[in-house]
Amino acid sequence: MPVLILVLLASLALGVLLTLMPAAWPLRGGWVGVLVMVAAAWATRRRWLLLADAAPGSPERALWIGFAGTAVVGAHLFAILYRIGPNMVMHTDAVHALGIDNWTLVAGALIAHWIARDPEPRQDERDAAIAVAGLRAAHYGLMLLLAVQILALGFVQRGWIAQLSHPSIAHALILSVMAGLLIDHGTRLWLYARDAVQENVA
Amino acid sequence: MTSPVGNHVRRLRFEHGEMSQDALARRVGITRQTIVAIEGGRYAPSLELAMRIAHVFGRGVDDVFFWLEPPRDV
Repeated sequence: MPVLILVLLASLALGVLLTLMPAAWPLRGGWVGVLVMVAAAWATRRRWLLLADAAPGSPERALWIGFAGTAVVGAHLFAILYRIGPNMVMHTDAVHALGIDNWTLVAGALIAHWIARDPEPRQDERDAAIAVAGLRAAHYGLMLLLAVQILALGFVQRGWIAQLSHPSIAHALILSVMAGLLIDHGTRLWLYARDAVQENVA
Repeated sequence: MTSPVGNHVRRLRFEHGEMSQDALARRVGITRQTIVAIEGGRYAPSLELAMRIAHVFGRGVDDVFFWLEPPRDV
């Protein structure tokens, strides 16, 4: 569990930091993020190779990379939206640049997933049962987030919520879906970790 | 979370040439982690998986899996 929280916080911090990089830097934030994610994926792959039989199974490996990648991309998107403010307008140069950075990070997350994937993927009914538990948690989490958004949009008539443009609302919905993914992956990783702790105790 | 179903999988593995968890997992088409969870009593396999595991050891399901406490009649 502490590792899960640590990975989440580090990934969220990376996503936010990438939006704060000075424009004078030779590399854009998106590319820096890709380099960090690829390096982390190589290091993780090497560690799992060394662990051999004690390494996590195929679904758990995919979950770790997906969890970290989603957190980086989501935090980056959140920080972009925060910087732009509630009156976001699509198709301006600044928004395009940040959007390209965000999509570059998505590509980086996919590359990281490919690097750290299990070369001999296997999954079974226990993984499916854990996946169901994750999906259920994500479903209720997403419903809660959407309910809060719907109520806020419908009933809050003042402040920044009332000023939200359509693109801002659309991106808030994307963030909710990403939060749902994080809940799904986080729940499943927690269930795997709980099993591993009991295994060590036994 | 412990399952109400116990098993002799670990003992049977050792009685069958000290078969490794990974070897058994491959024979029945599941992951080593699931064998670990079954042996630790944290996961009760489906009937199909229980039958496949029992088949590897040449036993019936009842010889491999058992109730830790008799189920209450409903």
